Order: sequence, then structure tokens, then C-alpha cells
Amino acid sequence: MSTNVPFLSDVQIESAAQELLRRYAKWKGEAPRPPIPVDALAEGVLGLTLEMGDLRTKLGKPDVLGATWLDDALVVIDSSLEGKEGRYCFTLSHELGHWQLHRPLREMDTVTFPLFSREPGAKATAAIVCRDGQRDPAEIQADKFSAFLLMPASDVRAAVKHVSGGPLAIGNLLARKQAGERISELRDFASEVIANGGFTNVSNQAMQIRLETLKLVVDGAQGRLF
Amino acid sequence: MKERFGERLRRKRTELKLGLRETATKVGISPTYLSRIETMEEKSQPAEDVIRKLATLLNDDFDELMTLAGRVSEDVEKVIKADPTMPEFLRTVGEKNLSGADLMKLLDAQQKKGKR
Repeated sequence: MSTNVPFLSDVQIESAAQELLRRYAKWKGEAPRPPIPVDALAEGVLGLTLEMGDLRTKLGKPDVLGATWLDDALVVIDSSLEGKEGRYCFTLSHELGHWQLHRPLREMDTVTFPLFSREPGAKATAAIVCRDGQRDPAEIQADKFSAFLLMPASDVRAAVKHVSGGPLAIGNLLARKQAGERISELRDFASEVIANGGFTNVSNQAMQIRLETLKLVVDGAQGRLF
Repeated sequence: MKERFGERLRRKRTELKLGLRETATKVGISPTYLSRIETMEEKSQPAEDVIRKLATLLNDDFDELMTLAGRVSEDVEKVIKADPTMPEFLRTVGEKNLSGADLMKLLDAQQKKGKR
């Protein structure tokens, strides 16, 4: 079921992620550095109850990864993500995105969220259930929030500067991507940025997307970099 | 209302700013299992050594945690089994609804008696 949330610009979403990182700095007494401690953000800063459990069985959905019960301040991550650091952290920070971006909409009665029971037989309450591959606006916004939170622009830029001195040009990047080619230069560059910047809780694919959106990887065929 | 075992663990863990996964790793159990313990979903309570590790990590009282978990530690169980009068003694003491201070006095008196 899709949730009709208002449009949010990337700047607004990034600002919300940065605000959460600022709250962490106040709570912890030091600014967060990658790997961004997403568990502490959930429980320590936001005061959410974090659980790991068999959501797939409980909700009867084979592809569910995480869920947030808005009135209970509860986030549950599916046990299938246990040990999968990148996917676990992306899913949890995605749920924090819903909490930060979409919970206020419920409190303002501007958006109605679907009802889900936490346990079979329990009362159904407002919740956001996130399934693999969902692409409705609320999910896209939460995905962006997750990327902004786990890979802050300043930290990514600093790592890139250290690795390559500046943006990396890859010849015929767009054409090769459109042809479905796996671009090893992009993957290797993302790996170096992850290792250099300490982004140990993000996947290579997530870093590739972040590098491209920050224009830290550009199409060499387009000419000049700077 | 008395705090339940799982609630106590979660409260102590969050007070110490220890994450669910971090705590589970340090104790040597899976995050899902710890989550089930905290939500009291786990039907069988954790093993004594897990409770001991949790008590140490969370700087909590092992005996209190064992009691909250509805468990008796192995050493106490041995004492009870070794002395047939012990269950009746404990039952009698329990029925008196003695306070913690009263129980300490009783223990103190018993220790003094033993020294004589």
C-alpha cells in the first residue's frame, strides 16, 4: 500500500539527516564519524525501541525488511539482515527516515498510514512496513535520508579528496551504464572511498550511488572535471 | 509494578548507551535472540552463563537478574538439594514477608552463631 506523502526536495531531506547527526553530537558529546552509529541514533538519540525479529512470518510478507510502528515508537528489523552490516544499517537508517520525515505528518493528521499488527492477533496500529524494492514516494524519501545519514557529504568529499584528489572521471560512464555494464572502475573507486573514509557499514552499491549524486564520479566523455 | 527481566535488561543497556547488536556481540549471542529475551518472546530463559555475562556487562546484580528471570543459580540449587530442611526454611522465611534488612540481620546472626 502506497503512502501519499508531500514532495520533499533533496536539500530538505539532507537537512533532516544532518539535524539528526547534530542531535547525536549533542547526546554523545562528539560529532559522529563514519561508520555512522545508526543503532545509537535509533535508541539513544531518538529513544526508539529497537527490536530484531521474524517480521516476515509475523506480517505474512516474504520480502519485508523493516517496519516502524509510529504510535509505539518501535522499529523492528527483520532477522534475515542479521550479520549483513550494510543492508542492516541501510534498512535501520531508512526506518529512521520514516520516523523523522513522515511521523510528523501523522501527528499533523495530514497523512493516513496503513494499520499493521505487531504480533498476530494484536491490535493493528499505524505503521510503515518496508518491503524490498518498494518504490513509492515515501520509500524513495526514506532511501535518500538513509544515504545522506550514513554517508554525509562532507565525509565522502574528504575521503574522495584523499583517495584521488578530486572527482574521478570514468570514460563513457553513462553509455556503459545504459548498456548494463558492470563498471569495475566505479566499484573499485567506491571500495577505496569506503576504506579510506571508514564507511564500513555501507554497501559498495550505496557508495557508488552517493558518489554519482555528489558528482564525485563523472562521465569522462563529458569533458572537463572542474 | 515490578520490572520484568527483559525490561530490566533493556533499561540497563540503554542507560549504558549499549546498542542491541553491540550487547549481543559482547555476550556471544545473536541480536535476534537478545531482542527476543528483551521482549520476553523467548519461552526458555537464557542460560545461567548468558545471564552472568549480561550482569557483568551491564554492571547489574547477577542474583537479582536470576530471580527476575525466574531462575535459581546452580550453587544455590546445590545448597537447597543438599539440605532437606532448606525448602521448608525458605518457605517459612518467605511467608514472614521479611524485608531485605531483616534478612541481612538473619544472615548476620547466623554468621555470628557459626563463629562461636
